[in-house]
Amino acid sequence: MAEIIFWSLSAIALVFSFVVILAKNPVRSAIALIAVLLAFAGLYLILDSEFIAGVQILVYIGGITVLYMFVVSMMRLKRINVESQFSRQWLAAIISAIAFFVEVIYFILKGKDFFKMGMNSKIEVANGLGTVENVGKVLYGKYVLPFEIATVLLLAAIIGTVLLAKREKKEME
Amino acid sequence: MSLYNFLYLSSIIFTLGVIGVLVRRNVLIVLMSIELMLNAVNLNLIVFSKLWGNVVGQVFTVFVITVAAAETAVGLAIVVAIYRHKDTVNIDEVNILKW
Repeated sequence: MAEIIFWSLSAIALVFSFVVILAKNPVRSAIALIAVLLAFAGLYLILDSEFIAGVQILVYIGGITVLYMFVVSMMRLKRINVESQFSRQWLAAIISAIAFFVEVIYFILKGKDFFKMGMNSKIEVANGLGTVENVGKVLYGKYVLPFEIATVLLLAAIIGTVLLAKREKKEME
Repeated sequence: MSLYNFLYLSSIIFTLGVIGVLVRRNVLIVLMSIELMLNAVNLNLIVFSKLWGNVVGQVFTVFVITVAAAETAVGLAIVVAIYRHKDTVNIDEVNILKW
């Protein structure tokens, strides 16, 4: 059962990732991005991480993708659509990306012993791995300082966004 | 279903994100490709969290999602500023720092 769900979710993720990077219209890309993110949320559920799946749907789909939609709808798309979509260096870019991919696959194949080591040393946790309880205990226990730094980062991002997107005084008059 | 399949999937999606970043001219789609790459990394972290039975990988995924949200907000604000200033979203045309 989990096998079928995995294969169908990964097929969805792959197809819609291609749509994201190939679509002419940014609106289409944003919709495809939503599909990819939903498929990833499903994959997180297969891997026993319910909390992350929920956060994925709430933050990514509910927040980030909606932000993309807002910005896309502010641009005039007519002029964008007639221009060429791909930059001049596309051939070199694809070659280097494929070289990178081959390298990553090589590392995965080479590191199989490391994964086997992991299989044996599983630490058993009470009532599921990625429940809110387990994630919260670690997040607010050992990793509370990074958590606070993340909040400061978000504050800085809010201020920076407001400053960048604000009109300058001359423009307003 | 072995956990290797997840690793292969995430490396494919990451490569697609790299291609999107390097090849597309529309800066919005470049930002979306960065989201693809971040998601691939998240999937990796969660697979290893499951493999070792340790929840720390998921905690780091929460941090990655936080950084992704901050990055998107700032990135889109920059896009809006560029669009207002130069009336374009093509990254090829934004080259005033090039010498």
